[in-house]
Amino acid sequence: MTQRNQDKAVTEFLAEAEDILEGIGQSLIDLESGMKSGAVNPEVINTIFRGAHSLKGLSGMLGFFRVSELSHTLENLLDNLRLGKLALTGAVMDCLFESLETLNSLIAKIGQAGDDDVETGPSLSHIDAILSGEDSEKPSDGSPLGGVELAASVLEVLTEYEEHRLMENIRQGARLYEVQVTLDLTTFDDDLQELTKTLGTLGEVITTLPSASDTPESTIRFNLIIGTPHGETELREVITLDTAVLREIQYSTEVKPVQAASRPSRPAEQGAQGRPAGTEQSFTGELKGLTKTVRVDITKLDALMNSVGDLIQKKNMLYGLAWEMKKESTLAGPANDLLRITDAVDRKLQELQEGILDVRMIPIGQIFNRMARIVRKLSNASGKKINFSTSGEDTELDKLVIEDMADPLMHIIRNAIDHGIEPPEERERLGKPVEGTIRLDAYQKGNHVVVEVSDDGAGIDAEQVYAKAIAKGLLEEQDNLDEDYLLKLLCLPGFSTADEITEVSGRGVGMDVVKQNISALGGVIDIQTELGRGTRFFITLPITLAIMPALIVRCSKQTFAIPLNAVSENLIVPGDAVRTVEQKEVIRLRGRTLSLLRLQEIFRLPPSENPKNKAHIVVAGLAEKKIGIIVDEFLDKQEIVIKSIGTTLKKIRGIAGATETADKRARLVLDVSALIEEATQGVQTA
Amino acid sequence: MVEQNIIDAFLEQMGPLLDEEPAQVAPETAGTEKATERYLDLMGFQLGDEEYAVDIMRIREITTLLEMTPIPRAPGYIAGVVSLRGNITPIFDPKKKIGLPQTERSNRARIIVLNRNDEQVGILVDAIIGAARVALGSLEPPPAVIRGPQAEYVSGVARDADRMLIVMDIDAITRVEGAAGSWKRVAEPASPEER
Repeated sequence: MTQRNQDKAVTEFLAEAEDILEGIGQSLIDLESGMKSGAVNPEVINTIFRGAHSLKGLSGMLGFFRVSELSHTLENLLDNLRLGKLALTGAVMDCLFESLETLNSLIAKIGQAGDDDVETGPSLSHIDAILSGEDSEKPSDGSPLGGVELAASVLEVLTEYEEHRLMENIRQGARLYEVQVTLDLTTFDDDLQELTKTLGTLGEVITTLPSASDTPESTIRFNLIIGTPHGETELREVITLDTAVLREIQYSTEVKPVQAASRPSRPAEQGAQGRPAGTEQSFTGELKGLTKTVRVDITKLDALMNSVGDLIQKKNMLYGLAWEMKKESTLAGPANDLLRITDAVDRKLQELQEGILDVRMIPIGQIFNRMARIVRKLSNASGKKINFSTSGEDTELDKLVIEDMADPLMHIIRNAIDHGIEPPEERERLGKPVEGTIRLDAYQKGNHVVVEVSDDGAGIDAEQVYAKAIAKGLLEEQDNLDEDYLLKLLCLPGFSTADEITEVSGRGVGMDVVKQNISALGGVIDIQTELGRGTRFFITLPITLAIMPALIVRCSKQTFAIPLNAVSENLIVPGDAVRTVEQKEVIRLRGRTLSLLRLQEIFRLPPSENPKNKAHIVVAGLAEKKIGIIVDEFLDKQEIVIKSIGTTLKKIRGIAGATETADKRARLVLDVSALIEEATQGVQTA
Repeated sequence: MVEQNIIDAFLEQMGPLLDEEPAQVAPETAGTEKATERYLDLMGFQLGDEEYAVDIMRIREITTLLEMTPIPRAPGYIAGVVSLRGNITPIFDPKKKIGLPQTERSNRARIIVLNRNDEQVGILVDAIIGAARVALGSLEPPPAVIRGPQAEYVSGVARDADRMLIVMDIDAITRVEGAAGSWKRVAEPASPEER
């Protein structure tokens, strides 16, 4: 392999490995909650097993032997779990999570340094310890296969895994059925897959065995054994094949163990080849699914999006040209044609744009999974009991937004565990449930996605925060205190309510960084807290950053764009409606006071020529915070692609970037959340 | 390839700088390794009455003056942004940055668009003089005569025979120092948010 191919292979490996580990992480969370509720879904263990197996293969191919060694050992452990030789306990869960962490560090190291030089010894010996102690932990249930009304020829061909699943179903008191189907040779693949899927909704397909007995020509017969809590009528309802023959398999529950123990256990790595038709089927089914997806570098999508943005501007120029032509009576005919064609182009461009946007969107559940792992780790480390729940995992956001949300979310959650949730003894004393709750909820609200992080901990004591800020010299003594103010204090650089730095949250990053990251995404953060009851953070984010409609305004002969997702309305009010309260200009809008900000003033633009008797106000704001931005004129609405004005200038407050408008000029795009912050800060510190 | 007469014209214009130059002996290596010598191609331009040059390999394009969109709260040496075929490009005014006297912009004024890391930035110049090739070995640190604030924007002086070219440090001239602009309103008390 050439160096270049090798590099490319490693890059692909990393992306794939990250996906696999992400999947394993999710499955581990599911597995743990299954363990707690006493109903482990065997398919979850199989999924993790397959993940470890793929990782072993991939890493071995590229010579990352530590990765393959660990995933191989992990695979052994999982195989024992699969076969019921090892009971799923808290200790096993810990070991699985630990292995995942180690695998994550290995992959991270490969990404950074190109080698997998990370200590794997502790994880390996941990797994070995569990594996060597497996006999003592083995569930001592009897294997009642002898009392099952199944032909010996069938019992003999069951794999160890299928036998285990059969026993497990019996142990749980499920009803067993044998479904015999005769399928046409040309279509049996799809038919069987369809049937397996349908039956899977009612119970577990334990095995699928091809039957050699006399079948009509060009057909093949299968016997499926199913374990289900449902009765025969329900099964008949879902089975649409008319060739299907259904029979309930009777079994007596009190029988002695049979041959299971005497059967030599098959080495784990042969598992894949030894699997019977049924499991193979689902296996290849997933492989097919994988090959249909393409991994794309997000920068390539950015480039495409840029091209579409440019095309949209060109299309706007075409419209302009067509309207100009229409003014000439001799050109009216071609002008109308041009308009029609441009309309068609417009529709196609919209499709293209939506298509690309759609590709960029990923469900936020991905980072929720990461957070679940963090909560688990931190609750173990801090000795606090935490129940973590999520909703809205399917809510979609731009890939880039999601990536940049991981750190802020992690920080808020760390804070909640460290400062919010009380120790168990204290919670008991307070009459609260011993187990604290942290929730992550995502939902769409108009053009935005709101992510809520809530805990039922102690809440934040505003007085204490205030006293601390003064003690630290971060602010002068002031009278007015409200929740908004609290958030600002929390977000001051260098502010931390924990007196000593703890391992959990004291990593030198503060809420100021959280707020900065969220602002950089065009989002805002709000806080609600109640002493003794808990704290809630609301993070409101734009769905995408790639392309957006914007209001074009003029102020002091300059043109600016304001993203429409931040604009709630435009007002033109008489000049005397603007009043001055505490040196700040405000208007009354539907019974509420709206702070105003003159763009001309804050940007120190030349005095505007606009008459004083009318004020053009753009009411802008996200979530609950709104301000009115006074401009000279509203121009129009355009689709814009926000571009950076370069790393050298990105620190300028109040400007999110620039865009090229239809007149080919560069126009500045206002950063509404930064302006709101400035305006509200002005109110409180004036 | 640039025509020889343009180079000559350029070097001739560079000539006056020599008058201020204290006598120095060119390094011995210069001229002795003609066969293997490597060159640096420069583009010369005018800022007011003074003449500078930048590495040609860093130039993306040279355009006539475009209408620039001023950036509020940006330092004064940023003339604004322009959109070059959809690429948003900040334009720096080196005269303001270096502290040279401001002069009228004539119709010879140009924007030199340069690579800066992966981005493009532009500098405003009063006129383009032309290209010149100097031996790489003849590059020297800026002499003592270029002093004060000017020195940090000069990456070196190229000697070619008895001529001297001042090579501008593109990264230094297009750098924004510290927090960009004074975005704090005067009325506001300094808060710790300012970094």
